[in-house]
Amino acid sequence: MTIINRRRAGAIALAAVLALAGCGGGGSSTQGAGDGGEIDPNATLRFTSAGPIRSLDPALQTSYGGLGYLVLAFDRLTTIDKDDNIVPGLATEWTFAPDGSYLELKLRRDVKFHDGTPFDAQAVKANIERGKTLENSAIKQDLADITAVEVVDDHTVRLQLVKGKGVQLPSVFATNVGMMVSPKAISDPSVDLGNNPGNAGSGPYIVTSFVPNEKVVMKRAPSYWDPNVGRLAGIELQRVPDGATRLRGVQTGQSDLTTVSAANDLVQAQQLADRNVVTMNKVTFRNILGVYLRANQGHLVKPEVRQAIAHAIDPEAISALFSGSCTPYRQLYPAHSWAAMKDYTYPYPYDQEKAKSLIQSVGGAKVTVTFAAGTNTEQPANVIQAALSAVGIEATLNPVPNSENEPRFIAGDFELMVSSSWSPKIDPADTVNTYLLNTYKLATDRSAIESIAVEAANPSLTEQQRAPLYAKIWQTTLEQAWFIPVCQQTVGVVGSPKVLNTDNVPWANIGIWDLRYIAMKK
Amino acid sequence: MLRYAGKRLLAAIPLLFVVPLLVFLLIGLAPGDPAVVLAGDNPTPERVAAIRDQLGLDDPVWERYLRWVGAALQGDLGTSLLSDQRVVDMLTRRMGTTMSLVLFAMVMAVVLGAAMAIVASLRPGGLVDRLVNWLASIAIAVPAFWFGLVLASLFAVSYQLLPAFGFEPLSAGFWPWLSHLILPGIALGLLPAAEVTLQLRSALGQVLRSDYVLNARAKGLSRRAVLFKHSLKNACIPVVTVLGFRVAEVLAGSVTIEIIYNMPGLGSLAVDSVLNRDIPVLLGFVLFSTSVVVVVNLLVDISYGYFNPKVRA
Repeated sequence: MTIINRRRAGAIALAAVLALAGCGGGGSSTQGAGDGGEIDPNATLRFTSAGPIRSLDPALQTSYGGLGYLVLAFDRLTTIDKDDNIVPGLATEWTFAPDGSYLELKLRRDVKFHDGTPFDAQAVKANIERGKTLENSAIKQDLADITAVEVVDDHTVRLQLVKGKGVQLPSVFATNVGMMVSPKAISDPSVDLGNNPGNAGSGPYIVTSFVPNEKVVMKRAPSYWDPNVGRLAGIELQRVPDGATRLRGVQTGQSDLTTVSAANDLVQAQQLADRNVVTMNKVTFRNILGVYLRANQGHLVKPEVRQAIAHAIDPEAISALFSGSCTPYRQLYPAHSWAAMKDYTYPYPYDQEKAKSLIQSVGGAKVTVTFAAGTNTEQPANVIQAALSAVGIEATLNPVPNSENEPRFIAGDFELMVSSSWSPKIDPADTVNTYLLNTYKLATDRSAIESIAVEAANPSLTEQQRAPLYAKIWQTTLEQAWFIPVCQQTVGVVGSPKVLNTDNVPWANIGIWDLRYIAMKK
Repeated sequence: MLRYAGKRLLAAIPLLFVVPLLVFLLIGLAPGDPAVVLAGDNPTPERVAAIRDQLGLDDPVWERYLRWVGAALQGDLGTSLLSDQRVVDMLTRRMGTTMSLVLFAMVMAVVLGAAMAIVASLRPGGLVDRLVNWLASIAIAVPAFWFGLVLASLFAVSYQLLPAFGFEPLSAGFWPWLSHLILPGIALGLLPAAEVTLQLRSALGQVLRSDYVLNARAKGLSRRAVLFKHSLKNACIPVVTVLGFRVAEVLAGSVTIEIIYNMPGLGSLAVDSVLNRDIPVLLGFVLFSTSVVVVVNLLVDISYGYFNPKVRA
């Protein structure tokens, strides 16, 4: 089965070309420019973000936050567009074997790494084998479904898969897992990929200087296979953790583009945008703020208690904490995704009386509400604790350091956690694996979803065939109240009026960015 | 004097070992684990355990401390757990930012504080004296971060006279360097300036009432000569005594200011290392800041000789 639709890929390319020509529309509209304008090929974009960046080696990238820095220097096998569609990158087509035993990738024939090494099937093999074997590799787990890499010809590679696994690989290849490094650089011990990758990539830009956790400076690559990207002379990506400082940077012209997500920053950015000081493109966050529950711990083993918790939470009250920038949402996948449930009604709407009666029916309950101190979940956690207390649940707050809450929840240390880390993956098989069956292990009754998950992960099925299967899994998850979705936050892409295409920043909806389409006008 | 300074220096050496030990103990008590930060998004307990094992984080505190001391004595402060960079290199790279900021703030504190105190003491109890006292009290009461935000809002955002954030090294030019220091330096230097003002004003008040000053005035010496030649030097003794504390205060305050102005200095490095439990970096920072305070205090002790000849004996 050929996954991509060539016609759609062609349409995307055409739209991008039209945008380049100043026609706008499609995925590369000139939102942010307002009046359009001629592209300045000599412009340098100064971008600020909160994302940490400790190493430029794709295989050592442990956090999503660092990916935005890398995508400009390293091409990926597949890419993600702003609407979360998987589109061709270095791989032009990908096909699963009818029995799911392998995934075959057809590769571009016109790509060279900046050090002159041709990109081919051997390069893919070298990169995947490096990712699987490198000490401290952060992508080893992502590549675990691949048992062997077979070079079919110079531009075709076949990935042998663990039986029944690997359906998520095309989407995973759009992250650092699919980033290709020159085999020459891989085999040269003098190349320090983490700190000075130089010409080791084939991306639209080349890293010229890097200070970990501070700044990455890039210049445009001398030639690039995709004419729609790499339209700036250079990019300076600076880490500025404080949102208000980032906003001040754009406001004063010290930087050109940034992203903000805190409610105060969004309100301020909107005011500035209303005065035409800056432009702002609002993107709904893909992540869902909600409550994780361990249905096998404490009083949460009782379904009535979990249901009461779900009924006690008022998404509108939480949204108000964010000045309305956290839109109430009661599903597990964004509405535009094929994996979202159509016409679904959440079974536990806000109903305080119902929650009270459920708690009375089990003779009371006690829970600890864990959250990451000093983050945007602190206020929601406080409101949720008050809501639980109001319906008769003895709820106590448990603030923990920001770096601790997720790993310790995963380790089983907490029974209930308020977090915005539910990040639906591009492929739902990955989501089920991460949150329900493995890593977070929210599905305490595995038998309720395991067989459906295996069936849904069959790569020979189409999205239309998989969607109803995932709908069953999501329904079970929500009915069991293993996770209570509350709302989706907003990300603002804020730029100076000179910056073009701020409405076409893939990944902005998960709080990071792919600036490949950004340009600046004269 | 040299013997005295040598003794003080020797007495300070144990401090350089005790403070890092305290950091080791405190960070051991605080919640947080560098292994979970290193493990990245959604780590499994197995991966966290493997990283802990690899970094030796499960070894006893005393063992890790002795290992660190042994390496530090050979000039090796280790490598960052997160970026794998040498701690010495990280500190060296960021030292210029913090030292520039601290220098600006201290120069401002001494110059502005002394000027205000002198102006106020010209007419004790007068309008200027009361105004200076009032302004200094406000500067002490209002936190530096608030000053920092107000200054940025006014002079960077509204009037766009100075940069809103960042830092440029002196090698980039004098004005780029200075322009990035003015707002954060003022925000950081106001508190010590106010403290110097009040302290010097108080000391000057006492000195100006002393018999030898009255005698000098009676001999017909001008007010300026009495103030600058005979009074100021003596009044400076209590101010200089606590100047070391002021440096420590400014160094600590730089943490907040560097974050507000996104300056790549030691303060923001320290915050990152605490949040990420990057122990080698944190220890390097602590060792550096302790050394600075020790050296400054030593210099202050030595400077007594200039202000107070009795100490030279």
